[in-house]
Amino acid sequence: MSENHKQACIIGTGQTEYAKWGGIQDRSEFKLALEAIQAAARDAGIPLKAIDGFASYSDDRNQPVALQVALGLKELRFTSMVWGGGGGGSCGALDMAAAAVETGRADYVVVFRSLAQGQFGRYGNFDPEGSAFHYPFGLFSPAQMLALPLRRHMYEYGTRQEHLAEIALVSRENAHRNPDAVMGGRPLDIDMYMASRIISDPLKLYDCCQENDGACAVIVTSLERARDAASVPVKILASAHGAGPEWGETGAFGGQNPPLEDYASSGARSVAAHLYQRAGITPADVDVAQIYDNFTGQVLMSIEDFGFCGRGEGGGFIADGHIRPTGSLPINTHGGHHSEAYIHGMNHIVEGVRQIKGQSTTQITNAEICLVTGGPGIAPTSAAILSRL
Amino acid sequence: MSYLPDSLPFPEAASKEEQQFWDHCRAKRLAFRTCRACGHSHNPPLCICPKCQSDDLDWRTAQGKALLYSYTIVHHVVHEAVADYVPYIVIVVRFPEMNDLRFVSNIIGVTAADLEIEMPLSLTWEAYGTDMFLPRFTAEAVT
Repeated sequence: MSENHKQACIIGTGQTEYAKWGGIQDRSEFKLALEAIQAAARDAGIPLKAIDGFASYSDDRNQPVALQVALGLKELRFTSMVWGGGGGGSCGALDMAAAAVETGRADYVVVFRSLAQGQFGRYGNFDPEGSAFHYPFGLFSPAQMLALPLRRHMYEYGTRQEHLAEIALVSRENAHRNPDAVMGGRPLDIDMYMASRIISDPLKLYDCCQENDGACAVIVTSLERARDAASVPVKILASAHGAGPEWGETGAFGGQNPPLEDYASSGARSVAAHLYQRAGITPADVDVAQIYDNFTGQVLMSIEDFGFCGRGEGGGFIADGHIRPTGSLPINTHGGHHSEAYIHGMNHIVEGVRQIKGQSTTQITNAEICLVTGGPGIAPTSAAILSRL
Repeated sequence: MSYLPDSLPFPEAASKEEQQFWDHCRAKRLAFRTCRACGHSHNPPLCICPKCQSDDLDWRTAQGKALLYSYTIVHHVVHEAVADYVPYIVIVVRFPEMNDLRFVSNIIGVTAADLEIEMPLSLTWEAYGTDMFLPRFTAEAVT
């Protein structure tokens, strides 16, 4: 295959330590962002002043103009914020960075997410900026809202609690091998899962991701520049962000009015179609996947929507062991949000890079193609396919 | 006593159309924004028909069957107002004769064991404070 020298690649990743919610109090969220970016630049082997763009999502509080000054950048040539919350824009920010370097608008674009939630708020708690179509009826939190399409999925397809449990257990097993994982070393088995308290039925405690403090960043540049990088470049084979019909304000986080045939889904079907078309691959070509795990049910629906099995077949697919490291579609090899840390999907991108470079603590043999997804159930959502050069 | 307390927050209407929706509820009328041009009903209410983009819109009282489309049983307390009310049930109601429009509400007078997706529901009204009524649902009485 002839190489496009403009092809976007990730040449460096960086991260801070990950801690439980509120666990980082000694420095600011802004400082965490700086540390992750500095680490990513070191990994890439580029001077900080070479960075000339930033992309983030979910209303990240750390503005590029502040980062530019603190990092001593020569100039800022590109900034981008993907609208929408819920981590839907994680791979969307990567998509923007790729678009920027491939069109020559910037040379080295940082994609980042920084969270010191203990210094601000908590996502699973009450948010005063809600809707009168939710709050008087007691519908407040993402867990409650995303339990609704999951319950429908269980009704339509016979999806069972055991299927959801497998996702939580596989994540924890993978986390035990990852020294950065907040939940590593903390045992979890099926009995503990089943006995765990109900958050919003059918979601139990272990169906819900953690909330954490920490930051990570990656540096995106073009293939021609990537060849000079200190570490092995990873190709962004394709990236996409967007939303299917009526998944905007009427999706699961809003009016619960997406088309009936799309209701019990992750909302990512249209993004998945564009992603595979751009990448020129099929789901069968994917070696490993980092699936945004806000809740186990949305992971199961994402597996269906990204084409690894048919609609409604996610439960059986998971029960057959496919998502384990030995299966056909190992997922969340870092432990995911459930058991590594909830850095809103940015740590899924970092783990995707590790898999392609052969550096994961749950390394999949000969992993050449990794799918990474952004927050499901929200719009816009996003995804990327990372691959070897 | 209503299903959930009046101390639950009731955010301000985000638009003129949302205000009109709640004004109807104040008069115990559940009405959805409906397009005069194409007949499509939608919610939350917008200033334009999301189907045909006409801005010739009216309000149509909820009609036909109301079916339980999905539900969740909330156990974890997210707002202090519901601390003594858990577990409670949040439902999604589907109106098949209003182009499958769905509406978030509660079902009252049933336990979790009674819930069956696709069960028929009946509209009822509960006071919220002194100046508002909330549309909630009961299991439709078997006749």
